[in-house]
Amino acid sequence: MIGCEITTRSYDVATSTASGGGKLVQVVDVNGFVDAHTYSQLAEVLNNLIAEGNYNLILDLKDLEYISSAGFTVLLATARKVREKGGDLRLVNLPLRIRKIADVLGCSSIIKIFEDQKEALTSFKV
Amino acid sequence: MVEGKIFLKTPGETVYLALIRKVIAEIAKRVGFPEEEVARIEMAVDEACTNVIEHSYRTEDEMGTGYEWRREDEVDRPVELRVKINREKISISLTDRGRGFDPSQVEPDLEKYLASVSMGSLGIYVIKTFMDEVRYSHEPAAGNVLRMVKYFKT
Repeated sequence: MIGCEITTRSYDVATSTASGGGKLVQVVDVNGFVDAHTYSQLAEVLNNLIAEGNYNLILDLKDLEYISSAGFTVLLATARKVREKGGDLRLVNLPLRIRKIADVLGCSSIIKIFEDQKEALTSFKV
Repeated sequence: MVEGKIFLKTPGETVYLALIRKVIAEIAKRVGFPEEEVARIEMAVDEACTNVIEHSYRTEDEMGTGYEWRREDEVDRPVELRVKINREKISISLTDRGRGFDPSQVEPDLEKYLASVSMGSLGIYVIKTFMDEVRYSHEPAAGNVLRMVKYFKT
């Protein structure tokens, strides 16, 4: 039984105004499930990224099978932390069944959700 | 529609939550709940089992630091699920032998949760919102029983 696998990639999103300058966005792929057993893994990865000064985060949830309330709490807490630093946490590729639960729990009204990674990366340009 | 009773017993450890979810989701799917309802039943049961493991079975020692988990503890902390299916509903009874936790006594406030982002309260909201009936009882012989019911929509 697999648990939760998390990988992180870095993207340099060129801003429309700065020539040669960029804005670093971290894309975090979350594979498997985030429940009471695994949420601390996700929290650790996200907290480490924040500690290293990464405040622009995209979570790609294409391969997310399940997320519990503990997982949603990690997402909301992370969004709050990075916003305090002027960044944001954005979600992409949410499976429909998870999207519907996020809607009911009010999470999608707090965290911005994009259809795909390109769209989310573009949103960080401004 | 298949009618019947299913019993699942696991140690009270979060590592077993994935197995519990798989079994519950498979049952809910097979008896005909649509995908959206399957996801809700799966999540409500996961949250209820998490509450048992993290709250009902957690001792004062474990709340602090330095608690050393002993293998034999698992034997005394089972998570027991009894699933009954009939023509109108699925009933899932969760039994534990811990100190008990009655989610029906808690009125979770979603707005307050979203404002404060505190761990725990969202799980109770899920159980109460995603299931049609939630009832808790405590009997010295049987332990703590949380009965969750979901009706088939006709």
